[in-house]
Amino acid sequence: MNSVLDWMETTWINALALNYAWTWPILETLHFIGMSLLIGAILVMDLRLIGVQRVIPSLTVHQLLPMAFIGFGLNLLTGIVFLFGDPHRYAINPAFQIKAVLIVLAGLNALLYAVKVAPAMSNAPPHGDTPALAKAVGATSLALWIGVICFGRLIPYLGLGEL
Amino acid sequence: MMITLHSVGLAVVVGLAIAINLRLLGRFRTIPFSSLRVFFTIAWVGFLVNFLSGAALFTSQATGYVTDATFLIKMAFVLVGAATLGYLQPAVARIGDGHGADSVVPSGTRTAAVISLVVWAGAIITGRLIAYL
Repeated sequence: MNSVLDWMETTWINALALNYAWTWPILETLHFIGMSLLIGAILVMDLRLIGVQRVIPSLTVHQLLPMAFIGFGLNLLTGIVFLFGDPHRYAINPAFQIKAVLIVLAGLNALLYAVKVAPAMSNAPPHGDTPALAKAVGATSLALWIGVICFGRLIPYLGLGEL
Repeated sequence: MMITLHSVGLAVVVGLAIAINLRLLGRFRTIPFSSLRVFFTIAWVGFLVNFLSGAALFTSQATGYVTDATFLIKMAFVLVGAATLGYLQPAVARIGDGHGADSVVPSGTRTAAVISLVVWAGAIITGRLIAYL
């Protein structure tokens, strides 16, 4: 584990993060914009999944998937630069650890949607109520991503311990 | 903690503003305009959360913020951003009720949507930079 963290500090990504004063603030700003793209898209999709706004044909909210993936991709890339920029401190940071777990859970939840929920809904009336599992997946997604934001924002506050 | 609330509210306001504005600019055409009303409401809830959490953050360091040019520019962006939402909400209600997935969006409304996207991005950029400048 430690050798991986040491290796991260020898990479060009680490140099990019630390050698230019503007890298970190610019990437942080992009990280916030990516967050907004992701949250805006999943709010619309998850609320429809929960059964709100049935005037929207259910599966057509998939039109917002590119917005969600662009936001997530932007934040994965910028997040990787942050991680490589200060690997030892992120690794022991409890807020970062919880955030990472929540992201994995959100990914598994999305997988459950793709494998089980969406196929079942494709045969249902487009303006009907959604199945219980769909509501659960939608609510879980919203809760997990809000948790990701909260623990992400807490990283600088919960990570002040010694290395 | 106020700063976490402020981040969640930011994502809700700006995220929904982006989704609504992209709809007005011709994306997500299967989403009926009549369904946008609830998303405006949720965006305003996010705005209220950020107004209150922002006020709390402000009072913790008021004298520092009032002389901070970055903060003042951010406030200008936020004001214009809120104004665009306030302008777009009735404008979207006038466009119609979803029968016309291809309803025509008046050019003034599309202009306001572009301005809204730009100023919300400006609010995020300047808001983040307060910590650095």
